[in-house]
Amino acid sequence: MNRYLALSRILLKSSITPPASGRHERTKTALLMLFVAVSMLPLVAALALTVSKLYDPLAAIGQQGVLLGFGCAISGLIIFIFGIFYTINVYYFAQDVEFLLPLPLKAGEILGAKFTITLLFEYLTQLLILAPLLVTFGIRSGAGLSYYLLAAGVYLSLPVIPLVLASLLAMALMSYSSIARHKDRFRIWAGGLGLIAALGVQFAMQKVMAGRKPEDFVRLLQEGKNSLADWAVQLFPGVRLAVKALLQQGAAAGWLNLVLFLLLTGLFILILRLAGGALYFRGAVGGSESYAAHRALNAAEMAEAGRSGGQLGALILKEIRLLVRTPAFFMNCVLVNFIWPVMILFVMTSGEQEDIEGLRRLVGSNVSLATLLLAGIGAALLVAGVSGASASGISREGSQFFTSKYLPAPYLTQLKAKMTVAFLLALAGFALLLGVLAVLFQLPAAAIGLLLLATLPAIAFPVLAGMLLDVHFPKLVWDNEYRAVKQNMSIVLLMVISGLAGAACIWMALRYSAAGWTPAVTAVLLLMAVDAGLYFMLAKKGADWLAAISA
Amino acid sequence: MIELVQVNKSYSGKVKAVDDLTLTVPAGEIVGFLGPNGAGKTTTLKMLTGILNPDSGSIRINGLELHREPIRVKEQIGFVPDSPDIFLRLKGIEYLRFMADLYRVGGAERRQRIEEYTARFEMAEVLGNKIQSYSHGMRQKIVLIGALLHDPAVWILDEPLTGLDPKSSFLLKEILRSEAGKGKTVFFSTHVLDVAERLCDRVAIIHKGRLLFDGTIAAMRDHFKADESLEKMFLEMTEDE
Repeated sequence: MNRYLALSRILLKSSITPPASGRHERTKTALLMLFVAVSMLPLVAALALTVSKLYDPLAAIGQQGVLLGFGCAISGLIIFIFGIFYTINVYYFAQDVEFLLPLPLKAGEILGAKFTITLLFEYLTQLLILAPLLVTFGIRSGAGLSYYLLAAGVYLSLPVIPLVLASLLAMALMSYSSIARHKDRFRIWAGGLGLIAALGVQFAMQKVMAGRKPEDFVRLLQEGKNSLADWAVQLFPGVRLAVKALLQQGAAAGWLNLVLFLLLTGLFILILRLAGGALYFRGAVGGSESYAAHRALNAAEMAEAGRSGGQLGALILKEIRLLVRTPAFFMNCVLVNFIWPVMILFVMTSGEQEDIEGLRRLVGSNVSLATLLLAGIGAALLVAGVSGASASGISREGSQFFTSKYLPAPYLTQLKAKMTVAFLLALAGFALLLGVLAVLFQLPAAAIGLLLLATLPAIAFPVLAGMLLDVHFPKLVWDNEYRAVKQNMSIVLLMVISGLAGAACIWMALRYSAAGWTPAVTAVLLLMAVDAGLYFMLAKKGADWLAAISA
Repeated sequence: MIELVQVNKSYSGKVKAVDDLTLTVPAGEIVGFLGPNGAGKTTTLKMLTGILNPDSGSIRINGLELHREPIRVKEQIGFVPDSPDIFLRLKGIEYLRFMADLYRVGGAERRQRIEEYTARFEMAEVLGNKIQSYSHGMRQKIVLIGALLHDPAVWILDEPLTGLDPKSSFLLKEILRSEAGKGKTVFFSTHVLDVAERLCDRVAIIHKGRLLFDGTIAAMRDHFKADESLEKMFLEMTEDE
């Protein structure tokens, strides 16, 4: 087997989490994965429905191709933007780089194998966006077999060019900048920028789509305001060819366009190979060096270090430091708590002024404090449920989990430290959100105070439930910190459970707004009872469960 | 004193890593734990420190049953794991403070020990840096200092000399000897037979989870009835039948 294939095979194997050992464990993992896949279905269904709704009015004026153009371009744009950060992580910052560099491999072979693995994961990303578009379009246009064959060709080749462009940019950055020496700082900045980019795309889309009916798009196209569609297909080389291939499905021209698109894709791979041969080693060699000038402590720092503290305090401090300093953990467990106020500000500043004024009047006059409380509880469940701080508390330890076993801190104290940090982060995020809402809607301080107090059980619920999940499903085997939080089923499961509970509260707040205090008080009492039950379980059995996890 | 009585451990119920191990490491002695790769050394040390639970048998540290009083037992141990790649994103001083807090070391003592050990191991200049930026040997040293801060009664070290520079290696051996002289128990695994020969009061040799020999080097020589090197004796002993 040639070295490129052998390396691709090994990298793929090590990218996929090793299957759990026992049969029972395997079943649990399979069920959890199935659950996650099912929870993605609403997103896919919503996209398919939108495409289906837009198809008829666009087809009436012969502009249905715009859907494919937009879809392919957006899919490519997402792969390109996230690909820049993704490729830097995979090509340069992955732990395997240090092992691969001394092997007798050419730059092109390492880069080729890493590109292939990245591409395979991009196919999974496309499942959420491109697949529903291509399938819905095929069904609505009554396409035959040739369309689906062409669509398969487009699906497989479409992410290549954006990923090559992202790779080229990544290689240039790594070869001619000092990023390599400041990995953590780069990752934290890249993560923050990625998040802003994702929010930006989301709100730009919302602004375009807001309140518009399918007929409005037709009108826009007829009025010649289709510059966005034109821009979309010009975004990446070849998108126009791919779209043409799909639109001319019945004719030989369709296949010709696909062949041209594949040739263009091949050309980009060749460019990557040539550039990789020249640039890859330049950025990769020395990438494992960390930059740090020696720093001794001054007298004051040494005196501070001499101050003794308690075990719980030490564990909390260690937890906070590792969360803040580890980019993957910072993004998924810290920053995520504080994106809500930013999102609210985005919505309030990008939305229609009339709607916002209407909302202000509604909240200011018509909504009772009881309804506001119930909606607040729902929001707290949603906000705290998204944070992975608690549900990855054990998983984050990874291969150094054994330290929890030999250090002389009771297991329950260790769990308490993790839960305290998760609770404080969620509370801080929610308090900031309330602060923003208080300013925007001019809510009285007493209402805010009551809201904060009443939502404490709602904030505690995901923290306790997350800990309980992670103690049972710890993901300790990972070679990359992102896997501990990104591919952690406990986090996804918690998000779904907490999200459903939060949505139920908000729905009840809207549905039973005239029911007085009963629903809100019931929700608070119910959550307090559930929290008490969860805490009791963790206090009673948590230490045993933690002790049972093998290091 | 460390006491292991009929300790067994197997992985996945199939592979027997430690087989009916009975071993005593008396206070005031340095005992080297030898064996080829995969012999069960690290598994034994992990069971002693509470990282792994034995399938059966009992483990006592200074008369305390590990299973019954895990925290009191752990407080007596200073453990140096085989890999020093832990808490890499903490600064050296933060790690030491963390360890001192967990082992409840008082303010004056901790400051004095941090200053003393970081000076002796030449680590004072990098205490403000993250452990991530340390070399392997420096990481080994910071973990070692962390294990010394609470002045443990029992020392358990997994390959402690790996990666240390000659000066630090010499210093560690000096400290081990001095601590054993004060009545502390020192139990460490090593691949370096020369070190075992010169440093240890006794050696225990394990192979395929079973204890093959436990005694002084002199007793081992008697056992072989020849003045052979420890290396030769070791190879002969662990050679597969």
